[in-house]
Amino acid sequence: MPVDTTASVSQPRLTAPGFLHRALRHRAFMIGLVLTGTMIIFALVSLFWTPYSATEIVIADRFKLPSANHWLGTDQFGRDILSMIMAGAQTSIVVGLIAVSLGAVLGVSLGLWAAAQRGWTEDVIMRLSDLNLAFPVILIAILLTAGWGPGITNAILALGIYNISIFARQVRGAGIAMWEREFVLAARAAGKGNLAITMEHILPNIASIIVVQATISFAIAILAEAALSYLGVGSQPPDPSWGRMLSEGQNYIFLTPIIAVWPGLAIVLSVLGLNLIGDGLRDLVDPRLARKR
Amino acid sequence: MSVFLARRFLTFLITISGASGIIFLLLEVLPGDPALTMLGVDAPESAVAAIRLELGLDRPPSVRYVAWIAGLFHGEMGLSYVYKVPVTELISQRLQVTLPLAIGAMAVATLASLFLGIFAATNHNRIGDYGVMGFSQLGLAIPDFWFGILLIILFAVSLRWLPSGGFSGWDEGVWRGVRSLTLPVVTLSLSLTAIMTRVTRSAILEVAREDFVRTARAKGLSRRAALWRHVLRNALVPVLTIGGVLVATVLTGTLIIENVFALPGVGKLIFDAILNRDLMVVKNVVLLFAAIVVVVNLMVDILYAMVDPRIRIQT
Repeated sequence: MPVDTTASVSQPRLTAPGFLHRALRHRAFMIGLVLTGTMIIFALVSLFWTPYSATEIVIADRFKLPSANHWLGTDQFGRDILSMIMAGAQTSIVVGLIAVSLGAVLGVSLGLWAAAQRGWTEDVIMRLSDLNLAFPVILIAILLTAGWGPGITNAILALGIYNISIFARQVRGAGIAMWEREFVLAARAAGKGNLAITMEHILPNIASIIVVQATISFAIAILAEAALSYLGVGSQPPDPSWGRMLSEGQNYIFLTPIIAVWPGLAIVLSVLGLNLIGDGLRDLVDPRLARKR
Repeated sequence: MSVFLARRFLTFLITISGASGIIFLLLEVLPGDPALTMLGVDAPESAVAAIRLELGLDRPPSVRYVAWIAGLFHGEMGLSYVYKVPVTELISQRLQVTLPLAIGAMAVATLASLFLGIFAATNHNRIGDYGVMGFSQLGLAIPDFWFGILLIILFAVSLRWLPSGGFSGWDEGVWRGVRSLTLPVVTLSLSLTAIMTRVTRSAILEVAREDFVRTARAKGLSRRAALWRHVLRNALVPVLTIGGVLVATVLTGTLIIENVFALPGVGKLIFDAILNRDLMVVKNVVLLFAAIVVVVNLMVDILYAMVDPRIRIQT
């Protein structure tokens, strides 16, 4: 007799009825959405328009304070800071997207595999993950830079590699718990194989955990990209980057401290936005947690 | 417990050997000829040949790897190509800055987060709690290097209370050293404080709901007495665990902060080594940092297993 194995799912889902309604009433989540939305809009608009060129050097305009012409002022090369911040948002988003996608795709696959197979497969994946965690992002970036020279690709790779074990561990833990649920046993009894159960039951039920982790990893990626670019091992000139704006601006803080303020503010607001979304999503998919906090 | 310890130690050995293998592979095998990596592709052939001979790079990679590991067992890390001094000597000199920075930041963060965490938990869902949680949320979003720059602008550029960077060594007087490290320590402790405050607060709230706390209160213990005698002691376990995990954050933090404040620590050493293509320094410093992360994780696991016997059985 065929068994309906999709019926008894109780894990909260992002698509559950009422989710949108609750999301709209969650203040922190909405603030996060506005902040992140602003960053994305900045990046998108900068693809075809910025007030001035983000890379053009105008020596006559150097160290201009904020004014009607240059809302956030200009830097040591006379470049418009607002335009550079808008273009810098592109770098942050691209690095974050690629790094998190890389980590998520590989990490989720490995985590699901470990949870489904258990035994030595799980052991090998977890030991590899231990090894991966011995190298914080910055150490991976240092290794790649020392071997192949500085560049944004190395920063993305470093972040992506680091994220693999973060996702793999989360998904393995959640996956193992899910494999013990009744509806999975029912699917097994109905003769479904590991792959089918993983794709039809395990993955959809832990999707919310993956989305929350992706949001938090995105925020960490923005911070890490800025740090690596600040240290000179991330994005390279002339590509605009918030981290490099800060390292260049730091040389002139005795002259015009304000130029070292704006890029940092952009990083803070973006990361804050993503963290608030992450926290909000966690509350929304698990209301028990929200009550506890 | 002994089976758990043996298993955990085996994992530790595998991880640390794997880490050294990866470092060697990424620095000396995959990019091609390490002599060319160090001197650049345009270097004259005679110079490349000379450095190959000097650093023994003419030997096959497997021999070089074994020689590196064998040297580590004798406390030797080889000679820095740029400074021409043993790497161990360089690292131990630089640790005089990095260690006080890391330990200072951990100490400040622990004290601050205990105070803030207790304050927030005892004012749960009141304005004080919201204020602390807002600070913690902001502390997680502020890049530490930017926070450092802001502190320099305020305390060094505007108020001129503290130096904007540099460190002249402990020989110049402890007070001068402490002054030089004050802003870096505060900078590094921000994100740690933010994370530890959250953990402390939720651990206290969690424990305060337990039955034994209710019993203590029913026996007539005041809220304050119950907090100090029962809640805090039990809430410290998760706080200590996260403290162990945060050691990795502190270590990588020192790498960044030393560059913000131009401090001659291990972090500055490794970034200078990257610029100078001093692979010998990069290789050993990265392994040292990875080893510290792995050792701390091992210690946290063992401590945790001592506290909670279920962990031993599961692993």
